[in-house]
Amino acid sequence: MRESLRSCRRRTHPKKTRVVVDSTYLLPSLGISIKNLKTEDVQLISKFRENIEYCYPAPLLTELVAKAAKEASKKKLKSLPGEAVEGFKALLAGLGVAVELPDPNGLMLAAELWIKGHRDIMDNIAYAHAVKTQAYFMTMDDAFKHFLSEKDYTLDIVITHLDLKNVIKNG
Amino acid sequence: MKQLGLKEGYNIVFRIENDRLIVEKVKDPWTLALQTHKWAETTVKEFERESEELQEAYTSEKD
Repeated sequence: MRESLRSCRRRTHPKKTRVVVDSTYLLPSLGISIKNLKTEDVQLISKFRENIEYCYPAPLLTELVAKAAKEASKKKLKSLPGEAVEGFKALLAGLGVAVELPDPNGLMLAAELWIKGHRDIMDNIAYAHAVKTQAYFMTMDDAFKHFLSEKDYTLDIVITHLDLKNVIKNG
Repeated sequence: MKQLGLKEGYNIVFRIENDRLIVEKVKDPWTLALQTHKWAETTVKEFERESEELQEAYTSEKD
């Protein structure tokens, strides 16, 4: 228990650019492919591991496990397939992606976004975590970007995997 | 170590299960994303929609 809490604490690498990843980027590690995310895109993300500290807010794990359970149920499986179990083990081991507890100010901002109309608290938590922990937020969710823009929230930190190279230069 | 296929630089996780110390070889999520068998497929839009539907069930303002 003590060890699992320790792994959730934020450990910053001063020389690395922090990037909060949206859940969609982690689905392939559970064996769930994303139509819009090609192998070369994942290779690109993986390539920058030395320069980028990828982070993932712990509450978002719920949407990953819910999606894996839904897909398993569709296929009439009685439990998660081994690929998904391995993916969760890798994620929770903190290798390549740091699972972090949210910042209290981040939770307040996430709630504010929900009240202002974006009814996906997971997106809100991820964006707010990036804002409050001096990180970029890597997402492919155009609808959320549109909402942020409409409500005058900064989009300077919102990127996709295609921006990673530039982020390192600026980071 | 040979039987586990462990070499220098591999990531391992130690965990305690009852009175046993378990040593497991663990790949990072990005390596797994590239190597693991894909048993399902989705899109960004579908995933976001399903996540919102799930949350709606918990945060519905109706009694």
